Amino acid sequence: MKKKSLILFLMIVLSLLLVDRMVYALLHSMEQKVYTGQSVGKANLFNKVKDSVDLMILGSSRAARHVDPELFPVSGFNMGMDGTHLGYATALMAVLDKEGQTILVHIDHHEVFDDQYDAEDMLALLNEATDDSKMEKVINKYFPEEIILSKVSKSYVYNGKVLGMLKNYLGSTGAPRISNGFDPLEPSAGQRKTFQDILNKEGRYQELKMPRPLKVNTFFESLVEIAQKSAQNKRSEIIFFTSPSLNKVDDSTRARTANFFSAKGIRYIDDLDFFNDFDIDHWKDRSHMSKYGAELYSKNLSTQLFLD
Amino acid sequence: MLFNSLAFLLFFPLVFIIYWAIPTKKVKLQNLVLLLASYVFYGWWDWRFLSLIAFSTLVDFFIGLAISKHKGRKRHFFLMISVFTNLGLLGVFKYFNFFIESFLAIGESIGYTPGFTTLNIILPVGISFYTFQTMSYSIDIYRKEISPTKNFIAFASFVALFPQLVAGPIERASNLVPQLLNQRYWSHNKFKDGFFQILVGFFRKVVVADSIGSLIDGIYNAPDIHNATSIVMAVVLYSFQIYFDFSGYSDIAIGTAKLLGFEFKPNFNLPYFSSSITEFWRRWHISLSSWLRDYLYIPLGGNRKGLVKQYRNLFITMFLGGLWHGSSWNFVVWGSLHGILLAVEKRFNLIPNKYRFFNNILVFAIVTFIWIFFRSLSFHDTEIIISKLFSFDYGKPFIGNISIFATVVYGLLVALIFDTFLFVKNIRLESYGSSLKVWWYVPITCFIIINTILFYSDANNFIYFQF
Repeated sequence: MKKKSLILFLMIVLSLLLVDRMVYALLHSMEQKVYTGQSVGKANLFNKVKDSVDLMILGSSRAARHVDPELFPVSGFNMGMDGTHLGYATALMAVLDKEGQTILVHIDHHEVFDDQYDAEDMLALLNEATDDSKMEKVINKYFPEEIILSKVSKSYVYNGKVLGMLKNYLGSTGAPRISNGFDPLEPSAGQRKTFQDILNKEGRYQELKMPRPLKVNTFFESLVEIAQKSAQNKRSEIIFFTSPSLNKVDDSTRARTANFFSAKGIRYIDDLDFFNDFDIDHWKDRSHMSKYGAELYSKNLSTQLFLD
Repeated sequence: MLFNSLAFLLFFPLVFIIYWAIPTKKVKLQNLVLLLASYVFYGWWDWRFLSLIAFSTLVDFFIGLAISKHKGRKRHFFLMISVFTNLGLLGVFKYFNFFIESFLAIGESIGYTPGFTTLNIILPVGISFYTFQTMSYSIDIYRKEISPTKNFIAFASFVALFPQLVAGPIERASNLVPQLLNQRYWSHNKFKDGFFQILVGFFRKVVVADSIGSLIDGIYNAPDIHNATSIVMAVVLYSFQIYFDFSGYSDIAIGTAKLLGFEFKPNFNLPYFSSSITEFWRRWHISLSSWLRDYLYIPLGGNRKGLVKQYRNLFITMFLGGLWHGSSWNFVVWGSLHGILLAVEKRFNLIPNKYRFFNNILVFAIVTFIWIFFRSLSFHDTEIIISKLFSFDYGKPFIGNISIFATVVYGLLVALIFDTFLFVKNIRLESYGSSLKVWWYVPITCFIIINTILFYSDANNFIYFQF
């Protein structure tokens, strides 16, 4: 009886390997034709432009929503991505081949000292890593088991991406759309009212609580070092920045953050308090500026970087 | 260790190989392997609490022997030691702070400030399950329904057997101890059933339940900022989340046990196809509801002492059943509402003899509504959710991440079609795998695995771990 079960088990394993490869091949061919949507489409656009632009913006949704490359005097692309942090940005930096780029990486103060951060956000790039050994090397440094899993089950790299990709594939013409990656937020009247209600109830600013004692997250530090090295190898300039927010951070945390980058010889711009006066037109929510606010901020950032 | 973790995916095949490599005649050695594996499984979470399991095991092992050796009042005395020890463990680790906080709140409301405070106590995972399991062992011996075992390793394995240790099913000694004392033989059908049920369990848990959790947690955690449509969506989806989360866990547990040659009792039987609340409790968390029936409802008098006392007994049983779930008044209200509904059904004879679709819809709506008390973070939130439900402030629902929303729709559709198929064809999942021919079994298992790989959501704790 054990033999019969073993044969059945082997049949399942072999069939599974075959189906897995077929599903992967199908999804991979679809992926190549998708240029819309956050996870797959934007990464494809990034791959198209990464070696032609002079300015690359990386970071979380705050990067994607706050920096408009059009307002900079050089060609640029905003590869900010919702729900991602420095891990994702660092893995992307590994595949930048152009020399002399300016690379802007958005960070928030709490990311520097967050003791829970484990760079897991870079796993959203597993599907990209199958085509790029440099990216795979970065991911493998932190998550070797994920790389092993992605070799065993190739379709594993598309976990959580299939339905979104399918939707964008079916609505796609197959030609790359023209976009600089900037994804501004334009709140509706209803959203503005809801946000105003929240501010009336909870107050305009909120102080973010930072862990004490302030200790730089080890993953964060090692990712900064990898990102810095990647930039140095291509004679590019890497600049970390924090964009405006209604979530306030205490002075000692901000000073520690600035000191951390300064000690590494990296330029850091802290624009948390960019807006002196509060104007609800600048904001979509506490963390994200509206398109109007983002454009004002982008112009200023451009001036700071390229004209000063 | 979580079933849905890489550690378990490595741990189980290792245990499986070692276990079956031992000749089936060497039952003691196999049990020892199971016991060690179970302690590793539990210790992976926090090894310090292994001492609690060992303590509970030792107490009930020797008390079981003592009860069987004595007669009359001494038997009762030993039984009481078991009951007080197990309920004492639960009381300290699960309910101490709850009772203190409730007492403090009552004191403050009448202007009295008691001079004691809460303690920083960690709730040991699975304590509610294994204490009930060991306690029922002593009670069954007291009732002379089973004989105590003199094989300590077998008994310790019964208490700690890893597939059911942290979130059930609450296995009875009458079912599991004999299996531990006798040889377990490899069975191809059992393998097919077990493997299939594990896969279905994983799909239910990591694809359906966890995706729903990702979608609705934000709504339940801040109901005041969401409109009525989002609230309705969250309330209905939570019904499915908790079902697929817990039944998924039970499926993995039962399937895993099958692969080791054991037969656990079913824990869920398509509860949302119930036509009455009474039927719902015969299909939902069967191992707990039958435990409460046998060790609480019937000893209280059950339905033997008149209608009024039967309603009282139903209420008490469900009240305590609610409290078993967690040290919060939300759970008490949830259980009590079920108790009241069970009594109302009995009083007005509302239980249909056969399946009725409209009753089914009504029961689902009622159960779903009562889950609000179970899921809400506080009474205040419950109040907000219920008032919003009836506010008719309907608008665009909160969708959040479109990929997660699409996964919820897809996963739920697949899972509900499968459940409907099982219900219509009157098939038990526990024995479905072996009924499939190879040319169906292989593609269906591949379909489930590929879908799980493509759509699983981040590993979350099982909801019932907190109990």
